[in-house]
Amino acid sequence: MADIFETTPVLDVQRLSYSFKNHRALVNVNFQVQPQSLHGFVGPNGAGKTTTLKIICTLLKPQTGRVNVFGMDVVNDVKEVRRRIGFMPDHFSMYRQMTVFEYLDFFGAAYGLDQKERDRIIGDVLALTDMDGRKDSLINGLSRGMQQRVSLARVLVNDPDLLLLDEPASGLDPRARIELMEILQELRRMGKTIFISSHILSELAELCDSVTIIDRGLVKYSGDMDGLLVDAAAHPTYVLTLRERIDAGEQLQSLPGVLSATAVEGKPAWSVSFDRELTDTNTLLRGVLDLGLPLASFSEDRKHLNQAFMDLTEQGVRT
Amino acid sequence: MIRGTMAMMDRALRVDSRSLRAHLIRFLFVGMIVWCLMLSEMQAWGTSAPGLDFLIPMLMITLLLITLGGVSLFATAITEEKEEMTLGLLRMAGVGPASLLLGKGVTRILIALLILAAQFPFMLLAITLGGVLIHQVWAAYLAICAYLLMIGNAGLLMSVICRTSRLASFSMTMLLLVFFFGPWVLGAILSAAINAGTVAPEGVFAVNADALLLKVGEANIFQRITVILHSSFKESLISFQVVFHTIAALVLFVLAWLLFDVFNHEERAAAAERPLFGRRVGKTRWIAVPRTWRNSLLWKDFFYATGGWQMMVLKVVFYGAIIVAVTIFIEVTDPSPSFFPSAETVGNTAIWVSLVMLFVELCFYCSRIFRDEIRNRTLSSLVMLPISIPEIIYFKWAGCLLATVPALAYFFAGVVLSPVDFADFLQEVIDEPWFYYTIMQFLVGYHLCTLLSMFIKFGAVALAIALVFVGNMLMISTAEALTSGIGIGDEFAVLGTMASLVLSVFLHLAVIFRMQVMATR
Repeated sequence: MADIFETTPVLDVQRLSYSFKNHRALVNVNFQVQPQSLHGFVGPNGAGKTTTLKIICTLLKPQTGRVNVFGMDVVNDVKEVRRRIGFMPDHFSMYRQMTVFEYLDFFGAAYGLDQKERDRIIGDVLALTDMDGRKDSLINGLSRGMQQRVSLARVLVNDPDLLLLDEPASGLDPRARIELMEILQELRRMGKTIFISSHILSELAELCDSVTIIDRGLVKYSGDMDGLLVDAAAHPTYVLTLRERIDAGEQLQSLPGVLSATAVEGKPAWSVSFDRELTDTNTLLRGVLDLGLPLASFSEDRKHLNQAFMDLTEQGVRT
Repeated sequence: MIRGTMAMMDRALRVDSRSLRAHLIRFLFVGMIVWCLMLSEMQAWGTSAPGLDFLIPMLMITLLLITLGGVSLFATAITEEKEEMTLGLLRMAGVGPASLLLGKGVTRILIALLILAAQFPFMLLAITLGGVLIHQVWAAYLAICAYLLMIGNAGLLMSVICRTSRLASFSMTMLLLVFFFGPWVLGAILSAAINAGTVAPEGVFAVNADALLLKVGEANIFQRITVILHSSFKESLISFQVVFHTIAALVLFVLAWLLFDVFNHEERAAAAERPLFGRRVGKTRWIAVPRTWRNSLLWKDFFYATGGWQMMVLKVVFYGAIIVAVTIFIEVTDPSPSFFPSAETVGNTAIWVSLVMLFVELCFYCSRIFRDEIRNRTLSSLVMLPISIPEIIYFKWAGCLLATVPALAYFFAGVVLSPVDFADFLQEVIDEPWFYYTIMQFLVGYHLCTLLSMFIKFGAVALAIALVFVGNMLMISTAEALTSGIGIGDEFAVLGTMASLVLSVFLHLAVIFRMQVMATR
């Protein structure tokens, strides 16, 4: 019995379609999100990410297909679904004239929490988002990054099991992005399932367990991150960092299956791409060690994800 | 400067010409005129001057719309840029105060003048119907145009001086009240002073003050229209009112220009104001908003849409002051004034003042109930709460209604002070179908105002009042025409009440539907 619960997806989207007048926003979309995972939902602008999110969070009704959250239908069990999810839209949705504490307290009370519970939860979420020092600040006076933290804190007030975040990092500076991602990782460790949309795949690469790529309303890929690389790239790229600068280009190029070996600018490192049909990662690593190169690290080049994304999605703007 | 002005005017006119809503309003306006024309033609057999019967309501509606436009459309011309925080951007783009005033404010006046121009040919048909001369139509339209110029520029000045549209609309309303009722109040006080012997009737002060008030009265558009529509009207087209209003318009525009930089030298986030509240820290802790109540939606609207306890205290003082002022005015202007007014006088004053204030407050709350949510884009967060949309709306409304306690308290105090008069009034209206019809019009108006506020940024109150007023006028005129001049009886009131109830239910559902649609955007 326990196994059944463990394998039941938190989010199950089946044959979902949605149109705005003559414009087909979603076409037969299928994907699943497993419990306690961090699932990326990636696509270019206008791909249908926000529409999908709005359907999942019960703001829109699916025209065809079905969406289940924790096994509950988003059309028939609206109230129950809403109790178990937290949705952060792609824009700042806050009462800017309130203080941070008032804002969180307002939503806490709206979810039916009593004052003691609210005090405890607000304290927790403010600590998690590192905003406890600003709880009496007016929201309007906060920086964009801080407002985003407050948004996230608001989503957490009702202690949802599934977080739906629509492009949470857009418009944030690099530091704020990194800090936000750290908070998300912490939330995953706390057992939350996180569904996060973005139009930048590499941004989610380090973070996500699984990903769904959508373009022009069609799902192009849905599965784990490694699978994306296998499917999308027959020619993976690895970065070899050496302990010292050595001209190893010719040596690396001589290894079986290696297609190219180019020096990484400004670093004692080489970017090596190989043909997966002729060799594999382990053989390549063994070959590098056999060459006697002073290897410091050997890692996949995540920039390659961008190429995978480009391969899966179409060029141009959706009309 | 000319380039900036032309760019803004060009944009405003393009937006207006592309807006389906603007064309629809013009179409409805012309449709209303044609409809009234048909009604006048139908009733022509029973009246000696059908042209005049057609012209009078048309002119009154036009004046009402211009006055409401002054409070809403013209008074928000610059404040809407301030609230959207785009004024600084426009200034950075090299658009100066004069260009902004001409481009934003004068364009609106021009659009209103264009509507008058479209209306004018239809008005000439009043001459064909009979009872009106072309000289009267020209004089009326010239007077209205001058009035429009003055109201437009007064609104523009308020929008330059005030930081928010709310304040600008309020200031403009006060200005209009002073303009229309000020001379009357002063005249009544002068008469009372003469009667009491405080002021000598033939003295220099009384004679000059009387002459001044008479001249100010001549500048009143309603008085001027009454004079124009008199059958013996033969005066010049360029009257004192036309000259006064045109000069006033110029002075107000120049004032707005000169004061622009004084009042708009820095951009502030008007959207995030909480003027009466402190935070829970520091010196202002004692006026801080209390912890969220169990019903958080009610709490939010009570404190953030209506001003909370702090505003309630101010209202108690303000309404009390009005009641005292009106009571003193009544006593002073009474033929046999008394130092201590009777309980009935105080009670009746309290009842009527509180009812007017209740009406004003409810209009205000209806137009602002979703304003915060729309501006801060929080509707999607609200509808995600595990409560239904109607519940959200009702709780928000309850928060607003709580703020009407001061007005209701004064009302009940008035009833206690003057129970006999109030009982007589109730007895008189309780069996009167028109009483229920009137109440239903308020209900329709409040629903309409709420719905309109979800479509337009500013002027929902003015538009709702105009629609209810014009709608009623058209309905009653149509009923009178269809009953062939017999007059409309209680049956019409009963039917009208039922129709208004249905309309209220429809508007109620439309508000709920609109909120759902807006939340998904």
